[in-house]
Amino acid sequence: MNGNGQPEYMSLLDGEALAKMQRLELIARGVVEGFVSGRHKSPYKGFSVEFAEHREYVPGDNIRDLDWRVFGRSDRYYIKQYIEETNLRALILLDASGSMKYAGDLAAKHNGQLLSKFQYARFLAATLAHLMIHQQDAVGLATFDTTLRRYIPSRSRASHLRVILAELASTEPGAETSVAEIFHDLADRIRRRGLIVIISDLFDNVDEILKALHHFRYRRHEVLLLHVMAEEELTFPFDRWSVFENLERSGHRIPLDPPALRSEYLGRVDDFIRRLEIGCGQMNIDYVQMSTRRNFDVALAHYLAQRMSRTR
Amino acid sequence: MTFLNSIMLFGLIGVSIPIIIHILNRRQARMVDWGAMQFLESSLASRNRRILIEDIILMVIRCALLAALAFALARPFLTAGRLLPGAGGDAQDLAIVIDGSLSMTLRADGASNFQRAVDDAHQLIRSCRAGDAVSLVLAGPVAQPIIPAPISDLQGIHETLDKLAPAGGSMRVLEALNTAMETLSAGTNPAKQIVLITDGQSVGWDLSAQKRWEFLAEAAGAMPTRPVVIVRTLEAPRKWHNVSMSALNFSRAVIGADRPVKITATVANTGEGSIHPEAVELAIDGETVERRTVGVIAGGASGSVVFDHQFDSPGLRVISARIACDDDLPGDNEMARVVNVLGTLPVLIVEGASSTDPLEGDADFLYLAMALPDENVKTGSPLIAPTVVSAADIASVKRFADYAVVVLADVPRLPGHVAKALADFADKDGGLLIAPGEKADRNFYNKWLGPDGKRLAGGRLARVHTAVPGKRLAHIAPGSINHPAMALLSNASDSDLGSVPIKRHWVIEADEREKSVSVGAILDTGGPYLLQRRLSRGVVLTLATPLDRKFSDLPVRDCYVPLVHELIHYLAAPAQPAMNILPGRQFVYALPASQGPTAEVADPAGRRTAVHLRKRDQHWQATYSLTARPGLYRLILSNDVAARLSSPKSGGPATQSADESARAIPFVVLGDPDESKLDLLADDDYKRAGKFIPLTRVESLGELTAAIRGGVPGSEIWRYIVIAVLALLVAEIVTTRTIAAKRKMHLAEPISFGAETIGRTDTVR
Repeated sequence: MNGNGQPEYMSLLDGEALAKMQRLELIARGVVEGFVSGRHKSPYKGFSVEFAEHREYVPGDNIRDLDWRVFGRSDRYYIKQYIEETNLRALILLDASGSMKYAGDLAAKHNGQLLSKFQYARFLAATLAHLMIHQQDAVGLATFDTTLRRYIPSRSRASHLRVILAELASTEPGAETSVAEIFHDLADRIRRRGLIVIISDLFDNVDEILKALHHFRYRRHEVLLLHVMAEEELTFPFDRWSVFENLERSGHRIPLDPPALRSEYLGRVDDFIRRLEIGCGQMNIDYVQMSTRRNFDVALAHYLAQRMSRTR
Repeated sequence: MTFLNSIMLFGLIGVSIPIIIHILNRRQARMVDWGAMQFLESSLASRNRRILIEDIILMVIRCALLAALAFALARPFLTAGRLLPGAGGDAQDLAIVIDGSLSMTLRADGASNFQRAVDDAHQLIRSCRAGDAVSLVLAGPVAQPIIPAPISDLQGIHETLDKLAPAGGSMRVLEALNTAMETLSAGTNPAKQIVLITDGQSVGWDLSAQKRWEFLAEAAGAMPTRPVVIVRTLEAPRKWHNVSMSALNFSRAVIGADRPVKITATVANTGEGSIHPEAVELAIDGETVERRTVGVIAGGASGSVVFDHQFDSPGLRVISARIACDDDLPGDNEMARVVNVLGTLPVLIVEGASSTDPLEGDADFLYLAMALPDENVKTGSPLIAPTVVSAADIASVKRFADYAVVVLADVPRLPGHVAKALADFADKDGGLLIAPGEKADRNFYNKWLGPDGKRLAGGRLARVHTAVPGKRLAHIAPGSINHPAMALLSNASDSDLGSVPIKRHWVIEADEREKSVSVGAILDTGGPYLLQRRLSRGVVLTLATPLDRKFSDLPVRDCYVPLVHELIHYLAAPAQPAMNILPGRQFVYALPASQGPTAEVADPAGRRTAVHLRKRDQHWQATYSLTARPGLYRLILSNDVAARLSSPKSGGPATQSADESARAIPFVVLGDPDESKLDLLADDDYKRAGKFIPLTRVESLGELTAAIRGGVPGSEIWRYIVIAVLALLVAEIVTTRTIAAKRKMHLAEPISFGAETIGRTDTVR
C-alpha cells in the first residue's frame, strides 16, 4: 500500500497522465473480432457464446471458467474457452529484458527519479491498459525476455485492470532479449484477431523482428509498436574511456574509447531504426518511436491524438 | 656518436608519457551499464582493427616526437663524418697554446720565435669562422690560462695576444695540453681543437712518461668530443751560439756568516762550435763581488768556476752568477739563488753523563767541536751555538723548537713526554742526532716511535760489539759513504775518517723495508755506521758510536770537527725556509711579526701582486702561488715588519732601511737548464705522442689555417633532429585531424527518432 491507502501498483496510473488521455481513445483501425457492436469493426454478425477450445489454466483466469469435468478426468485445470466476448482484444507485449534496465542521465524524471526504459514502458503499458479498459475493451499482458515470463489473457472487466497493474508493478527486467522468437510464439498462440501493442527497445536482429511482426500481421492482428529508446543510446555522448557492461549478460564488458566509435555506432543505430521504420511501414504497423527523454504521457497523448485524427 | 648534453637523455623517459596517459585513461575508465550492446559489438567488430592501427600510429608518432625532442636537447654529435654531405662545418672551440719557454725568445732574422708565434695566433684568429670561440694558454713551466674559457670576442683576443710576454723556463707540454683541454671543456661548441705553436724543442714533452700521456688521453676521452691537437712548429735556427749558466751550487746546505762557502757556477756551451766567454761574475744582492775568467768551452761541453765567499752578516742574500758573453739566447746567461745566511745555529746537546774530569763527559768533545772558533773563521762568533743539558735535567727544556738540532750524546733513556716531544720536533722540521754509547738503553731506543708509529731511529740497536784484542778493529768504509753530510770526508786522501779505529760500536739492524730509512755509511765489519730516517720534514740520524772517546779515537782526529759541523748543518737544513722553489710551487714564508695583514710580491717582470698574511701560532705566514715564471721574486714588506724580522732560524733582510729592496724578502723560482739545449723533436716523437691523442704537425701558417678550417671532426646534428621534431609535430596534428575526420567524432550524424531529431552533439559529456 502506498501513502494514499491505495495498492502499490496504483502508482503506475499517473493522475496527470490519465487526465491528458481523458478525451483520447485507442480505436482499432482494422477489423477486430469482438461482440459488442460500436467502436470496433467486427468480422462476425450477431452475438455468440460458442465453445471454442480448452486451454490450460494460467493465473489470472477466472475460476468460474474452469472445466471441472476435465479436472475430474485428468486432474488438470483446463478452461473452457468460448468465443471472446469483448469487442476489442488487446494484448500488451512488454519487453522485460535486461537492456530495458538502462536509464541514463538524460531520461525524463518521474517523482524526481530518472526513468529507465522499463519504467517508462511500464507507465506506457499501464496507461494504455487503463485507457482500453475504460473503453470497455479487453486487455491482456504478456511480459517476456528470452522466454515468455508472464501471460495474462485479455479481459475487459474493470477489475482486470488491477490484475494487469499488479503484474506490471511486480515485474522487474531480467535476462537477454529474444524478441523475434517470443513474437512468433505469441503469434501462434493468439488466434483471434486483435490489437498487439508491443513496448520494447527491440534489441534483436532487425530482420528477425520484422519477420515476427509479419507473423502477427499474417494472423491479421493489428500491431502497435512502441519503440522505447534512451537518449544516450541515440546520441552516444560519452567522451572518455569507458567500460560498457552488458545489462543482459553479467560479466560481459567492452572497454573502449567512445569518440573513436561514435560515428560507427550511431550509423548502426540509425540503420536499425530506419529499417524498422520501413519494415513497419510496409506491413502497415503503427511504429511509434519513444525516447525516454520525453515524458511518456506527452508522447503517448501526442501519438493517440495523431492516431485519432488519422482514423477519423 | 656522442652527446654533448647527455643528461638530457633522461628526457627519453618522457617517451613513456603517452603510454602512461593511455594506460591511466584505461584504468580510470568509467563503468557504464549498457543495454544497446549489439550495436557496440557490431561497431567494434568492423572498426576495432582500424581503431587499433590508428591508435598505434598516433602513439608511435607521439612517442617519437618526445624521443626526438629529448634526443635534440642532448645535442648528439657525430664524431666522424657529417649527416649531410656538403654541409658547412660547425663552429668550434679553439685553444691556442703558445710556447712561452725561454728558447722561444731566441732571436733570428730580427724577431723571436715567440713574436712569430703571436703573429701566427693573430692570423689564426682572423681565419676563424663566425661562432668559433678561442681560449688562450701561455705554456711554460706552469701552463697559464690567459683566456680560461673560449670566447668569441676576437678583437679582445687580439689585444690580449699583443700584451703576451714569454714565461721563461721550459714548456711542460702535458700540463699545457691539459690546461688547454680544461679551457675547452668550458666552451659550448662541440668541435674542439688545440693549436700548439712551438719551436719544437723536445724539453718538456716527457714522451717517456707513458702513464702521464695515458692520463692525458683519458682526460681527452672523457670530454664530450675528443679534441684534436695541431702542433705548429716554428723554424728553429740551424746554427746557433749559446752559453748558459746551467748550475749554481753551494758547498753547504746551511750557510753561516762564520766561514767561507764554496760557490760553484757551471757554464755550459749548448750551441755549436767552441765559445770563449769573457768572464763569470758573482754578484751578491746585485753587487758584483768577484769576476773570474773562463777558458774556451767546446760545443756541448761545460766548465765550472768556483768562488770562495764569506758572508759578512746573516740574512737572506741573492747570489747570482752571470756569464759575460754575447750569444743568441741571453736569457740563460744568468742564474740566481737565494741563500739564508745564518748568524747562529742553536743546538741542544743532551749529555748522558757529565764528568768533572776534563773531556770525560759525554758531550765535552761535541761542545768543543761546536763552540770553539774554527781557524778558518775570520770574523765574528762561531755559527753553531751549543747548549748542553744533562739527561737528568732534560725536563727543564721548555721548547725544542728553539733549537735547530738536538744531539743525544749517549743518553740512556728519556722520559716518555720528552721522547714524544722530541719525536714531534723531528717530525716538524727539527734535526735529531742520536749518538748512543755504553749507557744507551737499547730497549728505550728500539721502542721509541715517531708520530707515524714507526721506529724513530730507523733501526734496532741490537748489541754493543767489542773488538777482540789482537784482531783488526772496525773502521768506517770510505767507499760506503753516500750521505751528503759525510761527503766532504769521503775522500780518503783528504780525510782521516776512514782510518779511525773503532774499538766498540753498536750493531744496528736497519729497518730495511721502511722507505724512509737509508744507510749513509757502513762499517767495514758490515753494520751501518750512519742511519738516516726521514720524517715529515725533519731528519733523524743515528750513529753506531758515541761522539766521545769511549768507543773510538774519533774526537781526536782531524775529521772530527768537520764531521760534527757537517752533521749539524745537514740536520739544520730542513728548518731553513725554502727560498728556491720549482715553478708552480707555493712560496711559504714565516714572518716573526707583522703590523698589517698585507704585503706585495714583485715578480721577475716587475708586476706586483698583493699577498695576504695569515696568523699562524707565533708568527705570520705569507703564501704566494703565482710562481709560473722562473726568476727572482721579492716579497715586499712594510717598514715595520721588516724592522721586526730577526730570527735566528729564519734569518731576515740584510739591513733595515727605507730602501724597498732592502726590506724585501727575495726568493727564486728555478728555471730549467735543459731549456738552453735546442734539441728538437723528431718525426717519430710526434708519432709517439700521436698514439695517445690525435695529433697533427704542420710547418706553415697556410697548413695551420687549412687544418683549422677543414679539420673539424664530425658535426652536431641537433638541427636536423629539430626539423624531425617539427615534422613529427605536423604529422601528429595531421594524423589526429584525419582520424577525427574519419571517425566523424565532431560530426555525429543526428538520428531521427520520435517527434524530434535526436543526436545533438551538445549532449556530449
